[in-house]
Amino acid sequence: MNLHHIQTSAKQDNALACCIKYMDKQDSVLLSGNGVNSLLLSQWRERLADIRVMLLKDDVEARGLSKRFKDYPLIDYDTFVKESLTHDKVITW
Amino acid sequence: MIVDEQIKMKKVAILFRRAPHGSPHGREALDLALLSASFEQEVSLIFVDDGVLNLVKDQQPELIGAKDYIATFGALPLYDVETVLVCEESLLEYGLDLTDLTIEADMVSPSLITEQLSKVDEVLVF
Repeated sequence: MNLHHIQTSAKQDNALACCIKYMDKQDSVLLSGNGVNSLLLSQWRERLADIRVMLLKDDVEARGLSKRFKDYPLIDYDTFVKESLTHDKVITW
Repeated sequence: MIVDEQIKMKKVAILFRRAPHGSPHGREALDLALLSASFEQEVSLIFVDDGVLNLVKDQQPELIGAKDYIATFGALPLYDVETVLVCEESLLEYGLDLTDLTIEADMVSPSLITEQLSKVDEVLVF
């Protein structure tokens, strides 16, 4: 099981689209930096609907989006490290 | 699974998803592929999305002042890099097929690429 890490918004770069297309649906996705912005867009919320998605807390709070993303796991860096250890590997797109 | 004496060899997949020349990613990816292969790692290359454009024939990057690393793709067999996968859907999207490519490659489905991403120890995306 792999952890896919996306740091750019879907509007800015095709990383998220590529990730979703080639990832195994059992894998997890971590959005950080501008990557969190993609979840503001309904089409990407839908495409990520049945995938385990986590968001980096600082990047969400920095952008004033905590309330909007309260239904998603907002993880800190320690949890990110733990998650990367419970997955086979991290793929940064 | 046949226990292979090269079991300690690390399987590294290098995935190209960006077009050539617009950024250093393509050249860096190929440099890493050849370097890893020369360190006896089992290297596979995967081309998806804009990345398939790296393999288009008859490119002349020097015309726009870009370094011609495209020609270096021809060196892959010398480095024993045998697995070169190109996404079938991406090729179709760009109106390309295997005959348009500068090197031999396997045209594969997205699901086969998913399998490859899980099989290898490390995936580096450029």
